[in-house]
Amino acid sequence: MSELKTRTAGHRQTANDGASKPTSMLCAGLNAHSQLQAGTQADVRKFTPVEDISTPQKGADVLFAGWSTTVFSSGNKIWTQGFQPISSTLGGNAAHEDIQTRSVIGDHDGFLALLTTSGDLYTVFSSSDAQSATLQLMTTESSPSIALIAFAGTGRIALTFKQAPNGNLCHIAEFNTLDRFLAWYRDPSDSDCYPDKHHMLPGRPAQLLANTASFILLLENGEVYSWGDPRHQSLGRAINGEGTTKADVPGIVEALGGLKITKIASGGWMSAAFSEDGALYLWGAAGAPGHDRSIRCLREAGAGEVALVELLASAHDEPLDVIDVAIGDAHVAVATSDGRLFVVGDNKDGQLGLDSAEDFIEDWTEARGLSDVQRVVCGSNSTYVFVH
Amino acid sequence: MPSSPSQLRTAKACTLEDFSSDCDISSIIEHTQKCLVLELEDDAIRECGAAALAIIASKPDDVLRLAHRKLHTWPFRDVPICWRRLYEDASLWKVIASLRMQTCRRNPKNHAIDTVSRKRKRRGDQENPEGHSSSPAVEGPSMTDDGMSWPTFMAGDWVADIVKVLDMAIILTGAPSRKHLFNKLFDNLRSSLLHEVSKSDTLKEFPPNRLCRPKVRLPMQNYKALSSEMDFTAFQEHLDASATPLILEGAISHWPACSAWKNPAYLMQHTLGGRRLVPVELGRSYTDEDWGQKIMTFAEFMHDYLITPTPKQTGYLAQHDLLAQIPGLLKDIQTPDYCFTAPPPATPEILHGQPTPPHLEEPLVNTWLGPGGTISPLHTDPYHNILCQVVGHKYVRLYAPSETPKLYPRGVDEAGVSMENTSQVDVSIAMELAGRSAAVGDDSEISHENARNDFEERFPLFKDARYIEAVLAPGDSLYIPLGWWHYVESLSTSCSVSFWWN
Repeated sequence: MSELKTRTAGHRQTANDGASKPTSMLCAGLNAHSQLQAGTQADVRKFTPVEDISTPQKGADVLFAGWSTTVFSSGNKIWTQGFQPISSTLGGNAAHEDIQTRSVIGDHDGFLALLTTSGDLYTVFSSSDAQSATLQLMTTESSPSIALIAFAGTGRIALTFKQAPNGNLCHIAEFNTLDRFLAWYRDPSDSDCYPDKHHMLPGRPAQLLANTASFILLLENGEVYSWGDPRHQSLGRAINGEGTTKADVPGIVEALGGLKITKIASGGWMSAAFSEDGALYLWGAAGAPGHDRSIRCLREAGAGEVALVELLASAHDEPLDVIDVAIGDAHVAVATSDGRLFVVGDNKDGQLGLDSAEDFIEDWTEARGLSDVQRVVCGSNSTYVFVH
Repeated sequence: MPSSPSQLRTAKACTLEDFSSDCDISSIIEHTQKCLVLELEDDAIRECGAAALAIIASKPDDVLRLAHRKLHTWPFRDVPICWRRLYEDASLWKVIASLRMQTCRRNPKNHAIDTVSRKRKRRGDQENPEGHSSSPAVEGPSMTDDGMSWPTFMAGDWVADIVKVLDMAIILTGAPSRKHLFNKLFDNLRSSLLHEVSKSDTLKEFPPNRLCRPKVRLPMQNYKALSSEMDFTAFQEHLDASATPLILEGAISHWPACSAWKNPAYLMQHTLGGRRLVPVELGRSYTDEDWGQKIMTFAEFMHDYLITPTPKQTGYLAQHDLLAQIPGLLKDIQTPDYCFTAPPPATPEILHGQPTPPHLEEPLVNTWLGPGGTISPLHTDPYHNILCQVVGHKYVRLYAPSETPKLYPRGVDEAGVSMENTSQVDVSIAMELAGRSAAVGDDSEISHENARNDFEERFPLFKDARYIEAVLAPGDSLYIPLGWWHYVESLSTSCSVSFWWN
């Protein structure tokens, strides 16, 4: 279903970056490492306020939610809840301005690195005598100048290089492993450390994400590219036949052609994109590999097709405008312009926050009891919502 | 409470003698846990990261789901071994937790494990709840035609739940480090089921399910096995001289399997009352579009595809190493001496585009159990094969490698997999088209004529391809040389064991 829908651009709120207006955070999902709620290992099956006495101030942001650890930030302070203890201040105590995070990477074991808007790369550093790990700045004058970075479940790294303000060539590099990336970052002139792949595209990158086995790139002009493992329809585009691009090379998601996409999301074997007029598109595996339940709206979509997702407040309404979307390992959460949250997919750990014992929800369901939802972030088995 | 892996310590490996022969649950729990907390040398599992290992004992389900996700992240051959290890160990911790729960529920006065009671089930009763991915529901058949109720696994059948976890771990990971623990657990569960009484015990034989036996017009060489005509030495000489197919009559008639495996109750007992999971091929032939594979309990396979007079489709437990899964059956067979001869090496032409397989230290054994009418389409294998017929009859047809151009091998498929060892010709259809007599003035005859013309057009050389054929009876073996095309069709409920060697 790739037909475009013209939407009347009504009044809607843009996604809030969480730093300017007072917001509070709620969470639901896997809590086996007490990463969502301290003092217990039981799953959090309904949306519960994130309470952390070490939260320095309200307006905290979730930088990364992984299988075992959640990473929070407020200003330049970084701390975690869950398995991996991190307590750190970016830029050291001398930093005066708030450092803006552009990309974060981590995995099931915890947080790995963050990249700031100025191109500074911080990696997690733990010393044997410290209780918590800290984030250490890796960037030196001779470091490569990178803008965005993403880390797939297969262990592959993709990054985009910083562009000149007027530049229009997007240069992407790929590494087979995180270690290979770090070795190159430390010594980019060493020929043994060169990137494993290079790609060039016309355009200016806005967002670079990864899911289990593929990468997805949003350009400033609203085009979306995908590449990686094509199984389970995860790329949302054809990879065989005339005029197609191979799977392992970035190819444009033609089903979104002509749309100006505002934001993309990716997780598990799915990806999503919503346009500037609030239409949401979803593609990838309807059911996670090896599982028998599946998301109904994705079942019909074939290879190279995307599903238009229409969320309604009630049966006779017009579809709602989407202002944010996030994808976990097998679940999706969507915030709409009227402040609602809709969820679908895996609920084995309660990540849909519906206070339901169901293992899987096949159809989009509103998470009731939430109002004025501004933003949503998903971990592999958890969901965080930001409300006013 | 279980000690956590953070208390890992290196110690000498625990031996099987440490385990008492008493089938008490507590002993098996202690033994399994003792083995799990021992740090194995160079154990890849550490690469899964400390977060997963920290909760593997307390939250095995969550760790299982992480491992399951990782097992599906890459194509199977690329999956790092650490994830197979994690899935394997998390499965065992989960089983320990289940067994512990049973210990708590036990009647303290009576050390025997509660037997699972068998009751007659009415149609539509709730099936065993599915908790795990890709484990099929055990269907609840109620009555067969002769009024017997088949074992159904009731909700609360904790033995079935544990078997499912163990078998899925073996299927998904191959049990790289803990095979001995899995076998010990199955043995222990088996002793706990000895008191189980099942109506299936009264079914002593597979129902007769005989298809028409085709006339063998072009027989292959046939020898009484193990006589001086074709003993080990004579067979070696045959391999050195011509290495052509041979029937070895009665080669395995001394196998206990030839009588024991005719008995469905015997097979059910050895599969823990049919609770063991097996991979079943569903559909007429693996070259058909609608063919698929499904993992199901042995009981479901037995009832829905072997015993029932009206199966919904053909189900074939094919090319499965049942003897590795059920070591208790090994005593019923014996590797034929012929497998220890030195066959001629493979040449590239004979391998039909397949890579040369590595030398096998021991023969690869597979079991083939199915109803009458199962079809293995015309294909070659990269090994020499002794196909042993244990139960029932099979029709086999063989074509020499020299006939390959007349057999229209397939090419490379869309995924890049070579199918050059499989023929495009559907031999069962060819036999059907050739067999009909030429009657006149009949609609079905006209469409039959059209089908025959279409076949002729697609495969003009096929009718000139020379073949030899035979019907294998219980106790017989067939030597299929490497690279020889073979088509196999069961004529009745059949069980065969194949030995691939080089």
